[in-house]
Amino acid sequence: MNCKIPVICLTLAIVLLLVACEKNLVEIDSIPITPNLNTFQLVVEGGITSQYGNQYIRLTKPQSPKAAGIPEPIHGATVYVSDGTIIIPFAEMQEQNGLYSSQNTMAGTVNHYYQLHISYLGQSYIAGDSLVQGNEITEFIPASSLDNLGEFITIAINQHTFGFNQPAIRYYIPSETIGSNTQIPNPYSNRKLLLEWDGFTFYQHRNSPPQGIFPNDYKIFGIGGNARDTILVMQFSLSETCYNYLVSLLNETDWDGGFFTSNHSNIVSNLSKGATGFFRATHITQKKMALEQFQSIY
Amino acid sequence: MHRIAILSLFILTLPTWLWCQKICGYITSKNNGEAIIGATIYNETSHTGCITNDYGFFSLNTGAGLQSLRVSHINYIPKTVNVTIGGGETVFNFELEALNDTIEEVAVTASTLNPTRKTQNLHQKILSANELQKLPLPFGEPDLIKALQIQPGIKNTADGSSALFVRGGRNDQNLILIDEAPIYNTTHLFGMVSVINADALNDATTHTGVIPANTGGRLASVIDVKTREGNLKEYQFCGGISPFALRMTHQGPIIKERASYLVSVRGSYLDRFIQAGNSYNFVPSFLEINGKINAKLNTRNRLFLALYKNNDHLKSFDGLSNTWGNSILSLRHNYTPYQNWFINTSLIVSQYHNQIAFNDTLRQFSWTTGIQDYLGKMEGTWYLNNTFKLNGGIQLTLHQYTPGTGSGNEEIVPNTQYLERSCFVRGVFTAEYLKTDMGFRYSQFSELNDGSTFYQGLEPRINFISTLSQSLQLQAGYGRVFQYDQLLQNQILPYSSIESWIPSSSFIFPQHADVFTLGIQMTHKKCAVLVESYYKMLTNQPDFVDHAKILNNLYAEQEIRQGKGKAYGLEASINQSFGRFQSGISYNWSRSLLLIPEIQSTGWYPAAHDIPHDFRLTGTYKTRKRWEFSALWVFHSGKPTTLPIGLIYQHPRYVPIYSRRNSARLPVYHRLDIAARLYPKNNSTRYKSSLCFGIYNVYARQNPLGYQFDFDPIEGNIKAYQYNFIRIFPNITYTLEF
Repeated sequence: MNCKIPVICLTLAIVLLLVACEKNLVEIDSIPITPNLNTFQLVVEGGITSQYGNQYIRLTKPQSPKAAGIPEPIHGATVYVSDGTIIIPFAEMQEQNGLYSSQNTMAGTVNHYYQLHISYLGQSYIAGDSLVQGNEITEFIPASSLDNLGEFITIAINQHTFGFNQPAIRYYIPSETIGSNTQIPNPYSNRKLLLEWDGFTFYQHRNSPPQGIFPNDYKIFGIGGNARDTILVMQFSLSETCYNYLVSLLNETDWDGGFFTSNHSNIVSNLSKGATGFFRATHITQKKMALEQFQSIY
Repeated sequence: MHRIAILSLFILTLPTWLWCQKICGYITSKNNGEAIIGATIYNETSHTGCITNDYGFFSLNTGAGLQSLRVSHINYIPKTVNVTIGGGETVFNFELEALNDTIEEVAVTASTLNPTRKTQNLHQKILSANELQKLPLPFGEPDLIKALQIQPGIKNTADGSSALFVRGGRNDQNLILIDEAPIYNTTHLFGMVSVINADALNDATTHTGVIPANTGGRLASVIDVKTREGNLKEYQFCGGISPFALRMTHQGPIIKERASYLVSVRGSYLDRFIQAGNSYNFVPSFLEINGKINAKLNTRNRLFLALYKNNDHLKSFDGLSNTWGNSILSLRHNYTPYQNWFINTSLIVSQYHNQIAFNDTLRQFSWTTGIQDYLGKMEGTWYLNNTFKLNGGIQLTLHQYTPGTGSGNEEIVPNTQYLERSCFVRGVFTAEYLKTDMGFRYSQFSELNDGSTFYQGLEPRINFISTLSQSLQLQAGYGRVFQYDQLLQNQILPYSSIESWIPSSSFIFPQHADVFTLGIQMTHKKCAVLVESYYKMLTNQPDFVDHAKILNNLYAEQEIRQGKGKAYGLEASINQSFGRFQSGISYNWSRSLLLIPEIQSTGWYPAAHDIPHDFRLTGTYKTRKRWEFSALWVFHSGKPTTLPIGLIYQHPRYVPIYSRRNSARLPVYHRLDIAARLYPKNNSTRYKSSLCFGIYNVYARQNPLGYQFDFDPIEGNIKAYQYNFIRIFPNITYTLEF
């Protein structure tokens, strides 16, 4: 009898290892979630940019965590932005799901502090952000690899690279500017690509996200194309508050480490009590570049 | 005033010094020569007695002439010895024969560990290796930490974890000592097995209430583990196999009756057969070794050298690996200069390391944390008479912390060195109807590198136990405790190895607790009822800021905020014996709350281990011949958690909204474990074996460990995932001894 015991033990141990910790897809209704949509009355996105034109702010309502869908727009809010000298009124755009547009074309000014005022259902909400100077766009990008295969160039670019020690900058690459032979093998290829980078210092913030378990070059996506294919690179400056907002937002989304996460918390917001999201003031620089112009910072 | 008190004490005890005969000695096992901790020696002539200390030593005042001494212990056959005192001999050693499994013995259930010990602390639990083997434990592997988890007042918040949450305390507020050396991580195999090998265990004493003045450094509990000394009489082998581990222990005399050794090895074997890959996400493994040499240099000097080392390794299919381990080396010297003096001197090195590493095509980095302790202490006990003993000592500990070093970081936080100094005085007065244990401990904690940190604290401790009658015992106590280091650990899953021990510093103030306890125990025939309550006022309790990053963060201590805490509860248990059937029922109501305005401005909120209601039912039945059956049913409130209460859209992502921290709870937890132990026919006093069959979580309850959400921004779908530990697990354990 005894000689069989080790075999039985081993079999049981292997079975245990296979099923020790299960991750099962379950119905959301089986989880003891109690939706409470009264914590925040409205959610803000958008703000003032340095690009001349209409400025946009979207106002939506929170949703139940049990039913994600198109967010319900906020209608009938009174919205304006001031920088201490002028007032920029915003008007709701028809059939645009809560999008409010500045009534006049304008451009944000560097080093101005913009304050958002919203009145909705008798409540007032405010938020403010500084429009800080962005850096010049250079040919150096935070690429983890840059391979020149003759006429064909592939570049691996980190999705999240930004910081706040220097005015932080984001890359914004509209897909329509990419040449006909360009390949973008990443899940965001059907939309505009968003890169965030501080320009010179790779991951300025001292804590590698998420919760430190993923390295700096986590979530890389690649672009491949002919040497002379061009893309438009746009950089968005970030204030320190906006940086903190982005870090907290990514901690709860892209960088969520599941059980490795230390604790879940609400995102940082610059909205007053009763509202969330972020009102941003940003300086935009842009440059059209051919793939052959890019150089890795490594 | 204090001079008058000292003089009064001297005058009161003078007669016992002058006219009493003092004898001392050791009580050991007749089977293997090892010291018996907590044995009672009772003078039936003078109706006085005492209990052996952690080294089996006793000191007793007796009258002259023929005295009748009764020597007993719960796991040994008691005996009465007639000795003649006054003939010049002052050292008497006694041997007791262990109870055999085949004869009738005192049954032990999960919550009645040594209930018959008179004037024993109600919140002090003593668990011997024999008792451990008989408890209905998960997974079949005899395991001290798992045994403690089913004791009243001690909780575990996740299946399979080796974390201990004692009376509202955090997991890092337990001081776990192996042969007086602190150990910093008790987990093997994600916590399914703990680091203390049952074959090498002699005795474990757990203080969950007011901690005696001779120890400190942790707010919630002290778990004092003594390992076996090694058989002084004959060579002995024991071992066993369970689904988790293969274990072997060999011990025997180096010089018969004078010196012995013990070597114990335990390790997992799963990794020998399978590799991490598509089928197995993680393959954990561990190996641990205990070694001990015990030498009686002469009647007054004994020497112990103990070694412990374990190494755990976890490898995943995707390049993640995690390695951690503890190493301990301790040298202890017992010296009895007089019959009523016992001095123990210890030199100890304890080291703990933990490294998590990624090594795949995208990720190459490692993160290492750890702590090294160099500890020296001297403790003396003066047995003034049979009712009063005075205990004092000093301890110096050099802590070297490695809060975290990442291979990918150019900036490295240097190791920091801290010196912890402490001294204590403790007096224990034991009369037939009253036991008073009082004293104080004074501790200092200072940084050595630049002297920027210096903390100190005075810790008074007092505990009264009154035996009002044979069936009624009352206890009340107060104690203050300081803790100078803390563990940064993920709170979502307590067996995550992402953790780092960090000292108190200019950012983090020492934690301290004021503990009040009140308890009553009633016994009637074969029934024992125990009711205990406690209240703790906690200061400088740490919790993480929002979105804290504890790994690969060189400034992890800045992720902590501190505030007040309070923990209170009521524990009630009833243990009843019906012949061969023993049953135990316990219910605990407790709360553990935090007030940290920088984290939550709205007031008190539940700690991550706040479990208000906890109900446990145990039963054991032993047949007349070879079978023993046991069962354990656990039912408790769900663990606090933070769940989303809403969603907002921030292009192109859904972002969850949360309510207050730990404001939600997981569903109630319950499970049933059963086990049956068979003692084969061919067992003898020389050769023993047993086979244990068990089923963990018999009715396959899916108790969630936690949830994860995937808010898909493209499809607009929400996917919810529930993590569970194994739903049902049959197990088998074979144990052999000869």
